[in-house]
Amino acid sequence: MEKEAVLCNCSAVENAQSSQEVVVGFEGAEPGGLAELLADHAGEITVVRAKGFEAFEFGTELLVVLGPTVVIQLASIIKTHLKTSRRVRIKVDGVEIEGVTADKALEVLKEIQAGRTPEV
Amino acid sequence: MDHNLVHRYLSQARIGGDLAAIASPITEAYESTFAEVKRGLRFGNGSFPDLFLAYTPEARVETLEIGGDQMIVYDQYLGQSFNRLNDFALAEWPQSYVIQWGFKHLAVALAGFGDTDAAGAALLCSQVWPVEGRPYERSRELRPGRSMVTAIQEHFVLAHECVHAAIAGRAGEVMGPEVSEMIDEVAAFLDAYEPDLQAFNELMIRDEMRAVQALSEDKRGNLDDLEELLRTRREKGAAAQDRSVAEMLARNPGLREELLCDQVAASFVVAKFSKHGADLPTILASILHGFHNLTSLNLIRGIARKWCGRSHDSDLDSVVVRKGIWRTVMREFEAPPELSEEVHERFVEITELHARTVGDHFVFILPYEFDRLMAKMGSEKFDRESTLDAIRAIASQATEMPAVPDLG
Repeated sequence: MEKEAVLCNCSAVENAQSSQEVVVGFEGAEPGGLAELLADHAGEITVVRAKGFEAFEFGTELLVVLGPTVVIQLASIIKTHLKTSRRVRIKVDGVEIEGVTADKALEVLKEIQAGRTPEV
Repeated sequence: MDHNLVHRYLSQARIGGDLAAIASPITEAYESTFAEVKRGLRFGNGSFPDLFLAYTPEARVETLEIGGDQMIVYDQYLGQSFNRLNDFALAEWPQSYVIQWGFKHLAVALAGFGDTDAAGAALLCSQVWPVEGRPYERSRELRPGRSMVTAIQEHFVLAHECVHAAIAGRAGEVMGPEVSEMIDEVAAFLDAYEPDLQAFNELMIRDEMRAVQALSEDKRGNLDDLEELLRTRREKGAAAQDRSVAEMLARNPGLREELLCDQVAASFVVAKFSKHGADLPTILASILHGFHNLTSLNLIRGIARKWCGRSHDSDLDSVVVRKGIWRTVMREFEAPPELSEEVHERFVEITELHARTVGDHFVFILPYEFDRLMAKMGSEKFDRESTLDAIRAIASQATEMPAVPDLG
């Protein structure tokens, strides 16, 4: 594993594993492939459009119960979104995971899904 | 909307996000305020958004949309933070208390970025930072007035979020004609509004200068160069800023809607609190004070963002731009001509007071002390005893002002 993919040094990730849920936020337009993701994993994903008092626009966030199959499809969507230079945030227990890259998205999600802190 | 779903979302999206506000007379007061806003905006029950009262250390208000339903998440801790910041300013608390409080919010922001070592150090600072001269008497004397200021700010924030729902047409079919007309009126005003950007810049320069001049002599001595720096930066950047503000208004429909909501919410708050005997300049100045408080909270989050290498994510610019435009528009739209100058003076007064008692501490002192603390700690993991040693070392020199920062 590469050194630059150090992701999170907190214990929050471990603490969240009873539900294995994450919030994935997509900057800008709705991510491509979302409709298919929702169709395939209807019970595991909730789309939340959120706008803070200071923000100008709603953002698309997904509340996801991480399972083995959703992880692969979600990682693919994250990867595509990141390649268009728009950011993706993954939060667990209120902690934003740092360093989510296109190459590491799947690895990060798998680590969280397996109940481990993503790290190199 | 399913409250359990909101719980689950907040649990992952926020530090301490699973903390719902516990039913109490305070939460009942929020429910009542929300109902009042709803009545004031003449909404029926229709598809008006629900209210979810949270109590999280992040002190954030947001609107969530899930499955076509909207929910306004109001964080009780935001109101508490407003109240504390208002008290700091109005009762002119010593700098040390403000810094101590700032460290607490800094710890939350750092934890949200996953830096538990820095968060632990900041949290410890918030517990042991040496403070002195708490102004109990003055704070108590000013409490009734401060409570009203806080109430105005909280009503404004809630009303602002509700107006978004109205504009989205969600409650259009049940929205009363008065509010509908008000929205049309403000929209027409904004459409025709051509901001006097030269005047806007002059106003900003004057406020910044006054804020600097309002510093005590010993502090100002270290900041003489800052005054010149601010002026030069403003003047050099004036043309670019003119374009920037004009472009933001013209090209960003989101900003236009924010301004629209700010104006309508202000009109609602003015109508409500005028009935309770508050005068127009006081109400508008209290709202501006609320904007200053939000700026301060964003400044603290900005320190954490910078430390954690996430500076690109700041909401600070949007708050500052909105605040700047709001105050110029408000003078023209809300205040009758005979009160316009008084409103302006009150705006300047509260801006000076906030800068001197709160804002400058978070711009200059808090990041400086935090940087010193982290430098003392080096690359050590958080350890209570060694962190206490570091805090003792920096706190012993904490009354000195830092050198003038490079503002570029």
